[in-house]
Amino acid sequence: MRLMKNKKSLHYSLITAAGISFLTVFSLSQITHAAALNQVFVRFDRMEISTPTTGTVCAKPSTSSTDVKSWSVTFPTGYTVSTTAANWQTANISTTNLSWPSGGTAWPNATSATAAVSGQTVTWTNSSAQTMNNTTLYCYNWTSSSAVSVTSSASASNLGSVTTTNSSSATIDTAQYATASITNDQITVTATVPPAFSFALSANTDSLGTLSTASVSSSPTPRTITVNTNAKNGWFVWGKDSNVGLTSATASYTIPAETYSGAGPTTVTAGSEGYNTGVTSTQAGGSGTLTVDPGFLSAGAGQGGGLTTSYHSLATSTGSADTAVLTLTNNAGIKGSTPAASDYTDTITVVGAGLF
Amino acid sequence: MKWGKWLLGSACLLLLGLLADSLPVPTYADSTAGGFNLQVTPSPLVATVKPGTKAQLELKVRNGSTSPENLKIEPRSFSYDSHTGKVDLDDTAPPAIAPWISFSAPKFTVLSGQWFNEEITLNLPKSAGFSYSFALTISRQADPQVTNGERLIRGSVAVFTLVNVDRPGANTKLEVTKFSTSKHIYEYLPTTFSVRFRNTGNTIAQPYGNIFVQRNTNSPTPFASLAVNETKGYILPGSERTTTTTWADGFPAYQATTNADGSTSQKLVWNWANLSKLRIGRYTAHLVAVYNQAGHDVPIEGTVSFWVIPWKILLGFLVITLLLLFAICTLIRLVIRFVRRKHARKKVPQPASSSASDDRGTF
Repeated sequence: MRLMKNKKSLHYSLITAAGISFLTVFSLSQITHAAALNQVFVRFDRMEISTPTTGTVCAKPSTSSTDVKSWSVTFPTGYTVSTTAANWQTANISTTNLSWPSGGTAWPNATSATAAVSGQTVTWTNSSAQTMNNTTLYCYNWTSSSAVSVTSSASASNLGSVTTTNSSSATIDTAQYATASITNDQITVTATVPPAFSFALSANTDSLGTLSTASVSSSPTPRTITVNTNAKNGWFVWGKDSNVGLTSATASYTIPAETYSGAGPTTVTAGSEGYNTGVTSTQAGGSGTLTVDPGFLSAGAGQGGGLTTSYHSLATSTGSADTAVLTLTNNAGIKGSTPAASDYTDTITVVGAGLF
Repeated sequence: MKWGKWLLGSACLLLLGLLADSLPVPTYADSTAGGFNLQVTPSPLVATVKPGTKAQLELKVRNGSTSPENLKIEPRSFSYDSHTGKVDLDDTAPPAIAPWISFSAPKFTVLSGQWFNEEITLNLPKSAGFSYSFALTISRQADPQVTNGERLIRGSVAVFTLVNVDRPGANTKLEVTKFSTSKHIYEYLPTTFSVRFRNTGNTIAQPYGNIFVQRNTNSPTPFASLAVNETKGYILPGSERTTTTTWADGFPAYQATTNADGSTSQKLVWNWANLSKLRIGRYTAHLVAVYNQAGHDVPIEGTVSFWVIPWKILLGFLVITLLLLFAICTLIRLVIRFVRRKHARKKVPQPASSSASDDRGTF
């Protein structure tokens, strides 16, 4: 009896221990919160890592004071702060409104204050105390890119602070700000290989021969479109048909194109009038995924889509292409009453382009 | 003597002139019988121009076919569908900017294997708008002849052209309308992030930035810094565009493989060198994207959380842990039992002394 009890308690203990260990694995999560910088705002004009930058400091004091003697801005750890005071004062400070936040007003005496640098902190001192009130957002810009460089590592949150002090060196107000550093902030074309797009149509004609009610006539040698491109955003091929079918001038008659259906291809069948263009695709390489429009996808005999007089997308790709080949197969069918003529024809226009 | 030389020279020149006149003038027949093969660069064509001044853009066209091509270039309008991401090409000239576009050679001939430099001049008036987007289509000047019953297939190449106008009032503004992961819970990486940007300004914008994958928002060091809009896509005013970014740096991780038939499939790859990258628990992705507005970076942020739960691996660990615990407990029980028995054996009176006592009792 006692042995049974021991066994039970042992099993309970094991299950509890396992449960605790399992839950511990997932107890790593924490509640996230977004940084809010309503009172202090330090904007770096460039956020790319290791990049010299100009910028803007704005602050709305929480306490009105007539004795603002100095203020300091501490730049985030890792940012390279110039120790040359001249980079931080007079001609290198401006109070021109450079897309300041709404309500931004010139920081009092910002262009006259003298700067001193200690570590990550730049302190500006007024020759005489200034007045700053808690209803105004004060701003100024540092305009020398020699003053500070962004840290060398990318991070979502680099913390710094802005502090105002009075004549007794007591802190009036202080607040933290956060900024990010990113690996690249501007897309500059420096490559020696420019974006290029190459489009080749294998031939300009397609003969369907003599049409018959007994079978569907398909292109004997389907024409191909070959695309080669380094366009990273992909590419498109569109098509349109001047006659929306095969037209005979002598018979004044058009074998109508099938009606395009985005859901899937239509099928031309023997003994019925119909005309469509089927597309298949292959690709040797490239980063893009090549997709033929479902309405034109040729998965079997006589399958395809009907083109109209407006351009319709035949195929798209999401990236670059190395010998992407679209094969165009035209299918036509007639019925017994289709007028006889030897000049049934039409003109298909295909256009290719690399996406922006 | 002098006159003789002069006469001889004149006669030679006359003869050469007559010969030159009789030589055929080089004319280039269309390569209409053969295929159509053009290469264009750059594609797309992007520029920022000032109104009231002439701006010149250069487009290079190469004839890759075996015959000369007589070509023409024309501006055409297009529209972009934000929902499907599809571009609809139109056969009409872009109404707003067409009168201000001119070409160095609207019709031109390119020999086989040769490049042609087309100069496009944009002469925007001061009253021009803030941005324009259109396509330049290059096609043959004349269609090839077809015989009865043949279908003509025309080839053409389009180059998207995006023009921002640098003028007062130009406003670049982007918003992130959606920042999400393809799933809320993953068993293994990759995780795919989608960032949907909306251009609410009046100029063409190109965002860039990073997605920082962290344990939580305040983590000092991210697990990964992923590039946003790495393909350098442009977002037209009033449109939306989704860019995707993948975080695949994990153990194990699915990798796309190409099958023999050309299709792709996902295969779980166990790269033991990445054992330290076993991803487990909740992660936070912090988006910091920037766009350029009047020379400075404007950040836009977003946050999304997701879970990675490699439940099969965890289940395996759980089973092993339970088995180990069971084995340890069994061992401890056996040891305890053994010690108790030994202890009990020590406490039990010796049979010899017991019989002596009995003897004493009975005595």
